[in-house]
Amino acid sequence: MAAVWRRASCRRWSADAGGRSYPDRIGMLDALLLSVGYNTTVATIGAMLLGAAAGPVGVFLLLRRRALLADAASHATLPGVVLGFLVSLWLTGEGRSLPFILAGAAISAGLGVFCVQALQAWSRLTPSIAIAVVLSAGFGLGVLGLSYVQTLPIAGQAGLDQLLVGQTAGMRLADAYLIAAAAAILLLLVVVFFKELRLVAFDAEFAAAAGWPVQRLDLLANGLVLVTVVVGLSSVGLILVVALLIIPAATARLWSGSLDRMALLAGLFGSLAAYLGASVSAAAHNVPTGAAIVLSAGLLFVLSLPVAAVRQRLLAPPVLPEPPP
Amino acid sequence: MSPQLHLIDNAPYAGNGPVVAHGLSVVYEGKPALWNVDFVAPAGAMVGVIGPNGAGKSSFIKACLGLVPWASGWAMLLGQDPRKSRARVGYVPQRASVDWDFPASALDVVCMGYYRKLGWLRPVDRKTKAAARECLGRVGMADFADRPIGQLSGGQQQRVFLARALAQDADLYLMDEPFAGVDAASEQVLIKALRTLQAEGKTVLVVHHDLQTAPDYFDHALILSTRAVASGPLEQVFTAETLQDAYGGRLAPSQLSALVG
Repeated sequence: MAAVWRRASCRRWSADAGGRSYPDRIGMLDALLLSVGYNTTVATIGAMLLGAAAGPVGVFLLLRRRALLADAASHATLPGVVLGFLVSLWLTGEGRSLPFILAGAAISAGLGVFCVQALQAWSRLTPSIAIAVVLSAGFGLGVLGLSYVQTLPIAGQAGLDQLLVGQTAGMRLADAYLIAAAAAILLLLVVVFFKELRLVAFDAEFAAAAGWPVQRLDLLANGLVLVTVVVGLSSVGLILVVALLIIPAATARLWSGSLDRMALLAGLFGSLAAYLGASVSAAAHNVPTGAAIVLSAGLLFVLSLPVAAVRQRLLAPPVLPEPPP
Repeated sequence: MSPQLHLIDNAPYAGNGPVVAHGLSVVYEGKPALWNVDFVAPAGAMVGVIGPNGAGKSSFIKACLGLVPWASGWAMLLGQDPRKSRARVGYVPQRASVDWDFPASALDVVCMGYYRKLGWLRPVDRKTKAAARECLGRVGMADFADRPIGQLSGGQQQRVFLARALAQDADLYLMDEPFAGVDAASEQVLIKALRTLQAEGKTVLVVHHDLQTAPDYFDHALILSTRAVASGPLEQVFTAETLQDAYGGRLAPSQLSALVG
């Protein structure tokens, strides 16, 4: 593992020496004002859109008590990332093609989620055990593949490492557009199906009795999580992407007791964290984007803790008189 | 949409009543929860589904709704395959089946009863909210519309659930233990609301655990003990023999005589 981290930082250093497009010194202010180069700006906006979508998606994830499932999915992306890399190398002669990598990641994350559900159904394992098995096995397989790729005598494989911890600065423009578009679609889907997702998250049995296709809606909710994880690979990285789903949603829960406001706030917190994190990481070269985004989200959470305490005190339910019969 | 059910010609039974079950069985992991139940509810009846714990009362309701697979037999609601009659059937699940810490107000929950009518993509509008408030008023909860559901008492939560079913504006209501863990005031409100439904010509089928109140609340009964022990007009089926049969030795003779007089 340590070797992977070291390579990640080396790559960054050599990329600088190789004369990439970003300037030597980027001020924090420049970064916050999104004036650090067009590509990085598009990447930052993409991360913000992702944060805005991950917030509400995470709210439903939290309410359906499936937070750990997202963790399993994100770690299970790694074998697919490697496979996508190899397929794109074989087909196009170049490995670092984001569409291939993300497609691979989506397929293997989907397989991972399927394995978790199959394990639960067929082996009577509790969800947390099934998730732990898939998470560690998937990640192990991915690390194995990663070390194989590192031995290939080609250039560009080092870029794979950054999918572990995320990197928005210096992202290719086409990739940045791809991610921004995917995040925007994700956000649109959450908004469009908000009512149905709310119903299934609260009372699936009632929904089924009323004739809603509960299984397909459940699949949609899981699919949204999966796509969030995959889209988040390049900006937040697969190890930390689950935090972008969970922390803004948990922060929003501290602020509000209504699902609509909670989803809105989670989206705001998510995109604010993405903005802060991507900017900090663009200004300070050695800070991985994923870590900066997740720490920003964590900071927002900690700052919100007093709000919850105050809210609790102000909105404590008064002793209610029974309504008349 | 939904797959065709067993190819049994059940059309001749359609006129029999709003709830018809024939040879209905439900099996969970090899163990029967419901066995070969035949039942017909007459239109406009208030039916109590009565039986000891684990007698398959909830399974019966869920099987009637098509929510759990039928191991044998079939059920029809309002003369149709239950999967086709859903728009005309209101359902009140067990209160304990949902998480009451869910971020929602009483009004939010009642609005869910209108989702089907709204259909895909259309958000809850002002008109829907006003209608939902009215439903809350019918169960004496108008003042609690904006209160988070987690802050309501058990009886109030159950009233919210009933209000959501009222919002469905159905012809047939199936309710799973609506009186369980409910305070006396709420119980009165609930039974009054059910009687209003009956007066409007709707059929109400209620899973009920309290033998004491059953004769007061229902005019028909289905007495279950995995199989159907008896069903029909309450005074005919609510007897010492049937209860003894359903409950086995769990009812003392003195209790029995107190119940059936």
